[in-house]
Amino acid sequence: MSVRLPPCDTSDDVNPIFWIHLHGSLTHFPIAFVFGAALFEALGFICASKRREFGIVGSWFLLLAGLGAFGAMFSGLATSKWNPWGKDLLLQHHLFAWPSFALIVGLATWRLAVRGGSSRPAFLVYLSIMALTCALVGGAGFSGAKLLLGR
Amino acid sequence: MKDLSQQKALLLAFVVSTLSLCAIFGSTVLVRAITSQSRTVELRDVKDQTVIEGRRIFVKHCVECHGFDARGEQGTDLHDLRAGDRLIRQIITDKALKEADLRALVGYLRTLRN
Repeated sequence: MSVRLPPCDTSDDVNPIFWIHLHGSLTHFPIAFVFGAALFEALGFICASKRREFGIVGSWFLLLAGLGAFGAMFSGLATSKWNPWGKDLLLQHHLFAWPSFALIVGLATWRLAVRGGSSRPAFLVYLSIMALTCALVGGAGFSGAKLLLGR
Repeated sequence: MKDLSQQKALLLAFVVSTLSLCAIFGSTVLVRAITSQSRTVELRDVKDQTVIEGRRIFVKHCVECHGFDARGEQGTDLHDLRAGDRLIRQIITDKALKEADLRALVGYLRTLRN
């Protein structure tokens, strides 16, 4: 009798722990920047006198979050051996991560395109979507931590 | 860059976001296509005796946390492991295991499929 084994990576040239560590460190940049952007944009929405200053900081944070999201996604995919979905906890993590990535990039693009020229209702919609993005990013971070640290 | 109208900015955001998703998905598909051949080569046969020995070692050292069915109790579910042999060996905490025991244990873990 012989047993057919599932595919496995026996190569020694790439250490998976390297990718796990890299992903773990890179993901914190977009997480921190998107939450920071949401905070400053909300402050700018509330404080009319400092709207421009808060807006500049918020849009820069969002731009950095957008750039950082690419690094986080690529290192994450390398960690999961380029599996975009997976199952169980990995699938849950990806279901949070993919929409988060799309929304961060979309929000950053919109913010840079309109700069200060958005109407108040449009900005309110923008803030609502950013709150949703923060929730999704939080979910991705939570499920990612469970993946690394165990259930 | 001149400020765009809100509708144009929304369209631009949608396009950039979709293109970014496509770029990352595309790279994923490309890398998987390149590496799929080497993965197929890595499929191996293991003689049943190695698997039986691996199961014996598993029962002795691992069931306390991972359970007899290896579905995980305190430890994780060990079915369909995606990690490479090298990483699994690093994770196994029982340093008393000899090289042959480790090889048998990893061989047994590779047989665990959902």
